[in-house]
Amino acid sequence: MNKRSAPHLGETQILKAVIDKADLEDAEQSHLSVCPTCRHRVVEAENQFLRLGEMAARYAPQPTRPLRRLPYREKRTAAPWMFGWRPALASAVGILLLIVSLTWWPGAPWRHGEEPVDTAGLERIDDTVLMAEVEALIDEALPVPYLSIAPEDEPRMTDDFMRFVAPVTENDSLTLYRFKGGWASWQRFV
Amino acid sequence: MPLQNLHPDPGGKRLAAYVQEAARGVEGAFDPIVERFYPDIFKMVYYRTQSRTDAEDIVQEVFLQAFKKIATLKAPERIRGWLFQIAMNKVKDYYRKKRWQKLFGKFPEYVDPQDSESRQFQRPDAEKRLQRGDFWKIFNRLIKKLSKMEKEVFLLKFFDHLTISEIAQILNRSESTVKTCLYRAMGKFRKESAFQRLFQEGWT
Repeated sequence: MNKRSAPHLGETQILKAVIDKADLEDAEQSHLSVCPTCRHRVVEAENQFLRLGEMAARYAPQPTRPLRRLPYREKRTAAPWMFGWRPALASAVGILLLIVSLTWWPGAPWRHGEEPVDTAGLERIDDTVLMAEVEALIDEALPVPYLSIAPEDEPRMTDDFMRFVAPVTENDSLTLYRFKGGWASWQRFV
Repeated sequence: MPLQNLHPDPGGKRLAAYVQEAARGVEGAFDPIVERFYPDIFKMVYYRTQSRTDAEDIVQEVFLQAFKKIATLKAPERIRGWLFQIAMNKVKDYYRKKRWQKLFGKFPEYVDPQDSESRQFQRPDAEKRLQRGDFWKIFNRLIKKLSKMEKEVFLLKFFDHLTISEIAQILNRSESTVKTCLYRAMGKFRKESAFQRLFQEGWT
């Protein structure tokens, strides 16, 4: 088939040819090389975009302010690492580490006033206090209100008084048991 | 002029030598670089900000940063793309800042006194200024039809005259992605009647 008689390039192919002819298929490239109509369309499209760019350049104003003097001397005297965000970040991290290490350091000067915490000693103290409370409960089994009702250190509360209050009864098994000499006497009595 | 030949050779080896000298801190070595690229970078920034004073401020920042960081440029022949990349980042910063300013409503929208329409008719070159204003109005209408990426690729190719590989490098995209975006952007432009009118109504 005659290449020239092949269908003309479409709009996309024309645009591809404007940017890069190598993007066209082999058949399209062959057609373009022989078809004056398609070649004309490519040139026309190319010119349109070129002219648009030229117009933009023409209608853009010219700068009126010259560029201010570049700081050549500053650049030479100041080492690049002295300024910028990196040194600032490094300083910040350094200060943070210093604060953290000083806060946690046991030998820090402001920590001398504090007693070292002896956990075992504290536990021993707790044990002693607990045992004292237990012994106090053994000695004073009754609650405080009852103690005032029957105080043991009342001098008038003699054995005679107690016998008066609760006389010994012969039938009282417990009293009998108590006064007659224990289990053996009880056995005899029964 | 074919598009492939439009990308100008920025002084070839001599410019690379200046870049190397500037990187070593040789006094005055950066001046020829500024002289060579100042108009290109100014236009590039102007196309994106459409304010002469803002563009001038941004270009100052671009060259100051380039001057400070030139020692980090490993390939001196890539100076052009590198400067465009810095400028691109500065333009992004400019828009970020502007967005914040708008959000808080602290600063009024800046009107460039030389570009303001109110003064256009009082000057002797009023007709030219009016035409300029109309061109940018039409252009802004057209560019709004493109996505962010298509717009950037289109501007870098046809307004800033960068090569596909330079654009890919600046935008950190593959060349095929750049080309795809470019084809799409060109197609959208060509479909617009306003674009076709630009070449028919005596604009050129």
